[in-house]
Order: sequence, then C-alpha cells, then structure tokens
Amino acid sequence: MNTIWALAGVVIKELYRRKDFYVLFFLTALVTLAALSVNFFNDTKIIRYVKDVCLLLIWFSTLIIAIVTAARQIPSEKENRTIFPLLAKPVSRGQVIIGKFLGCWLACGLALVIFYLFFVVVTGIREPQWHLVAYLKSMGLQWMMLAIVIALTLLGSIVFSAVSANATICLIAVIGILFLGEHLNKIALKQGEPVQSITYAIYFCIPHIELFDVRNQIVNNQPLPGLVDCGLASVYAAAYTAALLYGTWLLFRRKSLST
Amino acid sequence: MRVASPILVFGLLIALVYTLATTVQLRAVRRAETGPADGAFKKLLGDGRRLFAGQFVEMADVYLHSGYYPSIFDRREPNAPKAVSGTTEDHDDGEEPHSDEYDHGVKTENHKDHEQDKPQSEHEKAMDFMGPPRDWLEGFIRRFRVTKHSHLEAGEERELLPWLKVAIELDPQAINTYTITAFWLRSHLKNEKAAEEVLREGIRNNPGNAEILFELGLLYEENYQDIVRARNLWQLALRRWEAQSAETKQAEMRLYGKITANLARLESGAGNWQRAIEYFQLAKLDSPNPAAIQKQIDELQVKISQSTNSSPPRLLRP
Repeated sequence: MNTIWALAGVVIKELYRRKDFYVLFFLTALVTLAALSVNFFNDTKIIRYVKDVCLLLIWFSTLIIAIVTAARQIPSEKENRTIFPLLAKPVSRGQVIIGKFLGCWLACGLALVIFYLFFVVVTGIREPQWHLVAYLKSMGLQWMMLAIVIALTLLGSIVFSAVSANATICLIAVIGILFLGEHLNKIALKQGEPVQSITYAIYFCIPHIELFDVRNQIVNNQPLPGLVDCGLASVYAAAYTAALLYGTWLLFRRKSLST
Repeated sequence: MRVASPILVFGLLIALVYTLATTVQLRAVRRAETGPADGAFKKLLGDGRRLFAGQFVEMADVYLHSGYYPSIFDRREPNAPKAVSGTTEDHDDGEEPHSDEYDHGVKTENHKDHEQDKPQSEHEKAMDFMGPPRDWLEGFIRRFRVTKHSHLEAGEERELLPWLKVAIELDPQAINTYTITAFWLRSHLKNEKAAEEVLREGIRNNPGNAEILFELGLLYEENYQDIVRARNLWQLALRRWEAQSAETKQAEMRLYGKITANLARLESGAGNWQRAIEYFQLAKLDSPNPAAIQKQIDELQVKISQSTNSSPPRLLRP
C-alpha cells in the first residue's frame, strides 16, 4: 500500500508543479467575476446565471484536468524511460495503475475543493442562504464521476499511442455521454432493428457519467437526491472504475514498454 | 539640404497628433449620440447573433421551470404556449390579468375563466413530457433530475431577466422579447421604471411598432394608472397597425383585437359609451368569442338608452 501512496504522491505533486490547474482556475474566476459584475435592471439579487456559468466552468475545468493529467501518466513514464527503474523497485504493473489512478483522483479532488470553495464564496455574496450540504453532495458526486473519467483515460493511455489522441478521444467520449447518455434509450426506441438493439445495448453498457451532474438542482435551488441515492451512485461509479482499471491492468501487463 | 531640428519635428508631430485626436474624438462622440449603439454581441457575432436569441428566451423558460424542461429528445409540442411568454399564468389571486391571456382583455367572467383554463391546461399537458420510466436505469437517473413541474414565484422571477436581456441584445428586432421582459418586470417584479426602459428601447430599435406601443399603454394604464397616456398610446398603436401592409395586418389581427378591446374598456370606464361600443364592434371582428363582446355592447346600449351621449367620429376598420 505504501508503494501505491508513494506513486500517488508523485502525481499530486505534479498537479501543483504544472500550470494547468492555475490557468483553468484563473479563467474560471475571471469569467465568473465578470458575469457577477454585470448589472441587469439594477437588481442585485440575481444570482442563478452566475451559478450556472461558474458550475459549467468548474465541470469543464475539472474534466480537462482529469483527462490531461491521467492521459500523460503512463506515456510520459515510458517516454522518459523512468518506467524501467520504477518497475524494478520492485513495483508491480497493477500497483503502477492503481497508484497513478489514485494520484490523479486525489489531485482532482483537491482541485475540486478549491473550485467549490470559490463557488461557495461567490454565491454567498448574493444568496441569503448557504446550501452547504447540497454543495457537498454535488462535489462528492462530481468527484465520483471523475473517478470513471480518470480510469477511462488510463485505459485509453494503454490503447492509444499518443497522449493527444487519447486526451481528445476521451474528451469527446465524455462530452458525448454527458449530452446523449441518458437519451440513448429514447433514440433507440425510434430506430428499427437491429439498430434499436445495438443502441439499447450501448445505453446499458456505457458509464452514465451524466447521472452525477446535478448542476440543474444546484442552480435552481431544487432538492438533491438523498444519501441512499448518492451512495448507490457512488457504488455505480466504483463498479465502473474497477472494471476499467481491471481492463487497463489486463492490457498493461502484456504491453511492451519499449516506445 | 538643411536638416530640420529634431525638436521641431517632434513638436510638429505632437501638434499633428493632437489635431487628429480632437477631430476624431468629436466625430466619435457625434456618431455615438446619433447611431444605434453596437453591443459586444454585435461586434463579436454580427447578424448571426439573431440565430441564438430564441435559445436565450428558452433558457429563461428553463429557469422559470426551475430546470424541469423537456430536452430535444423528449416529447414536446413546438407550438405549446411557453410559460415565459406570460400566457399560462394563473390568476387566482384576483390580480388583473395580462391582456394576452384572455380574449382581447374583455372582462366577462365565463369567458375569462375559459380562456385562462385553456392555455393553463395546454401548458400542463405540454410539460407532462416524462411519462413512466422506460427501464430501471432511466428510473435511477431520474432520481438525480428535477421531476416536478413548478414556476418561479415570490420575486424569484428576477432570475429570468439576464437571459431575456441577452436575447434583446442578440436580436433587437424580436418584438416578443421586449414585451415578455416588460411583462415580468411590471407584473411580477413591480419594477415599472425598468419595464418602461425596456419598452422604450424596443421602440427605439423598432420605431412605431404597434405591439410595443400597446404594451407601453398597458404599463401606463395598469401600473401608472395614467388613463390619458394609455389611451394616446393605444390610439397610436391602432394607427400604426392600420399603416401596415394587408398581409401583416391579417397576421396581426389578434393584436388589433387586443388594442380595440382595451380601448373599448378604457372608454367604457371613462363613460364614453358610444365610443366604447364602436371599439367593441371592431374587437368583435376577429374575436374567438364574439358573444361575450356582444354582451358587453348590449350592456352599454342599455346604459346609453338610459342617458344621452354625443356621437364620436367613425373609427378605423381593418
């Protein structure tokens, strides 16, 4: 376990050494504060559009951080040839996968906490109530969703040769699921056979990461799902993450390390 | 050849720059005062910005429903009344209804009830888009979605305003956006000044538009209780409507009915019964419920028969 934590620690350090997070946080803060400063009919209580913009940017930024960080982990180790001394420690390939995943996931968690702190402060300026429990649930669900995204990207980093190709394909897949995932069954029902069965099969197979998107409730101050539902969603995310990591390990253990 | 002193050349350049700056500045100020101001959206997107204006009005509708809204994959009726347009409001609180919501603003109890129920039930039907879940996964996903149909209330309607404002910026020629924005500002947020500013901006961008003039008349009548100005505005709206082409007039008969019915109501309240009858007769031409208007005419004729009144000049007919 110490080996895994050591590997994860390196990834976390990498996050604050690189400039990705700072740039994305700065842009999020800039756009949100610009949106906050706009005057609409001298009404200073209007806040929902600011929440909407800020949460959209948080989602986009954390997805970018997760995908970019996870996509370059294994390829950069191979490119710099540091994978050989790492595996000679001795560290198993499975530990490398889990260590890299854990590092990326914790790093994204840290980034998420900072983003949400900013969000709470910004909304607190105009909203009389602080919906802290709702924000915690939203952050927790988003973090669980990022676990699936990171595991998917790690799998992609074994399959695809280039970091850029992996990052782009993963981003497109994630955005596609976010927009279409929950509607695939409706689309399937309008198709004839065998397209209907294929689409329905895809609907049940893909990880429904859009499930974790509760921005609509946060923006409109609507009640969020209960703890049981959040727990079930976490189990759902954990199952997909485990499956994807297992797939990554299966591919990685037989993969040639020479570039 | 003698070379000019660098200090003199520098002085000459400074004088030239200063002269140019003062000239350009004067022109810029003049242009800003006379021409329409170009917003950031116009500079960024050009005329293509109009394509997105409808999306922002829809966004306001999404906010009005607190996120409960059909996606493009759900069952939805494209022509169903949108709540943000103010045509599906419930007026059980006894408040004066918006004239769009019932036939030409004519106050007949049965008629009013019928017309209010119709868009309300249509809207409820349109918003019942979910149906039972098709599979266990959809049922589970729904636990993480807004599944209750509700409308913003108690001042929270202010959250619609940013999207409506952006929609106005994107398409200054979309008349509905001005009237919708003014409706929410004056009816729900009690911000008459801002409503008037929006409508005046609409008139600046669409000079002489009958619908905006009519809406401004409503503001003066219902919010400022300024009957004289309301009458003048509605009469002007009627003249503007009359000045349109035959095709446009045919397409906007409903507006004609609203203007004439409201003028009739105004004149009736002011005691000008003969004039009110004439306006009611004009409103009756395209009314979906002419019997209700005829009832009003009959009531006024009874009043006239009980007293004497001078006959006003004939009114414009479509």
